[in-house]
Amino acid sequence: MKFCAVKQYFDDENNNNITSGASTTMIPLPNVESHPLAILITYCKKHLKIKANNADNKKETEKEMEQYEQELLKKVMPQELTELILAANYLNFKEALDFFCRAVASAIQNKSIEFVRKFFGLESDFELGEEEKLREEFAWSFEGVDED
Amino acid sequence: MLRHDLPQDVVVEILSRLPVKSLMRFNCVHKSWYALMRSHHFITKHHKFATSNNLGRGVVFKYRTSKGHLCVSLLSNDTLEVSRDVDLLSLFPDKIDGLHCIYGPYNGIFFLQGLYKGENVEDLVLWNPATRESKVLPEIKRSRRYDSGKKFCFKFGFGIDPNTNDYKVLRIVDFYGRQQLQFEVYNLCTDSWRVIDSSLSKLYNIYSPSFPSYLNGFHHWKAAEICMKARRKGKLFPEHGPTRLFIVSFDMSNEVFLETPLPTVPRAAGFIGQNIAVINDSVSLIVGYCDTRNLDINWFDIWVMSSEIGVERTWTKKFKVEGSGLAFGDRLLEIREDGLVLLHKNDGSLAVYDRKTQELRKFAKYGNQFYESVAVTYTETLAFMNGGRNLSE
Repeated sequence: MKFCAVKQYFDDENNNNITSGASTTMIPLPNVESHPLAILITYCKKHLKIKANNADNKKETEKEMEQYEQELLKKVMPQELTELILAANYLNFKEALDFFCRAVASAIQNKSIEFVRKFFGLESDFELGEEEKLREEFAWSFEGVDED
Repeated sequence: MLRHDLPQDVVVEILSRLPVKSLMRFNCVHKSWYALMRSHHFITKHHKFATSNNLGRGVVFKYRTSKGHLCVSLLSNDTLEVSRDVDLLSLFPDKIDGLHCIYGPYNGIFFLQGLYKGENVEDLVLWNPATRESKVLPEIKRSRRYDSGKKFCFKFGFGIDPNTNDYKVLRIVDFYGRQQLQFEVYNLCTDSWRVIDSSLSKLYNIYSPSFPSYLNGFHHWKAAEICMKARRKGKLFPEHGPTRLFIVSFDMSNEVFLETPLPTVPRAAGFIGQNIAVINDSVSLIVGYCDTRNLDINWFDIWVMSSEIGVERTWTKKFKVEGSGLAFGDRLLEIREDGLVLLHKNDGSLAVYDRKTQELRKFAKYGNQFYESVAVTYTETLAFMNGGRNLSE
């Protein structure tokens, strides 16, 4: 069970000896919206399917998963990534969390300071002149940065 | 862009997947990010992620041009092309024209010893190629024992003390066999040297490492036993004869030595030489051969030392690197995982040789392999050596 938060719910249920069938139990997920949840479910199913198809061949699994992930990224908007991360984090879905974090890292790695601040909703809290000193010290790291 | 704020641990997950160059730039984003990048927890997490996913890898390559000019470059691990040339003048306080040894890396940090006009200079530097940070080690206060007019030279070892996670450098003062070796240790956390009492059971000639030699809290050297024979007037002279070779290992935590004989390797068929190297998490011995009747036949035997604690250390011949890909005059630079071997070919080109398929792939030409060239793979790290700057409150 990949959605660990949901698994926890089932485990708790079993402990309480509630014998309702799994298919009819409604599990409240107040922090996840339906759209990201749908994508995560599809991701999970796809992952399990690929794993089953390539039972012994780990490399094949990785390759196919990578291809699927590339396709998925093309369809997802950057803003959606953060929602997907939040959903995966809440559901404790480790593989998806890792994938989407990597995707965000990849998207921001060549971006400017201003872009990144905007993306994370941060404002500079440096004193006057401090930021400039840092920019000078790490000037080499600003080479080749994408235009905003 | 964000509707909800990402929780801090998620931000850490994202940042730990970024290359060091991006992180150095993002130092300027926010004070909390600046602080995060100097936290031991984040530095370790970031390095662990890179190591297990084969990210942020590079090759430090030292070589000489055909004219003998020293070059140090960072190469891409995949294409073996130059990412950038390293400006040695920016690392060392004094002018140097040689790098005696490249020690390390340990977790992406190197220790470099500079040479000027063939002499050891006191220029010792800790270097992080990923953050481009370097730290010059303080001068060692000469103790009166050294100024007795005896000739001496220095050898070094570098690694960390696994108990304290502090970087340490061992300096061996070698009196060319006239007296016992003396030792000093540098700790990064105190930024100072101190003399240590440790001693060896025999008189040795210690060889500076040709390959990375630190593993799991120990640094290793090849050492030749010097047997002294008394001659007239009570003066001791080294005995001539076949030298017995040992591996001398320094325990970085307990600051004591282990000494174990090297295996007796076959020498009949064109033995060239042997060197200690850490290969794939084992202490190994690389023994090179060239068939004296047919110079085109070259090979290496790789021996591995057992490493169980408390058990006597023994050597086993593990595998051979051989085949048509190896030619006379090739320099073996690095034995990598997956059966790949990095060579500096006799025509100056870098090449990767697959010892399983015997496939040889040649890359760009770099200088002349005749001069000693060194290539070491490393994984980028964020580790700061100068303690990070304190921002004004």
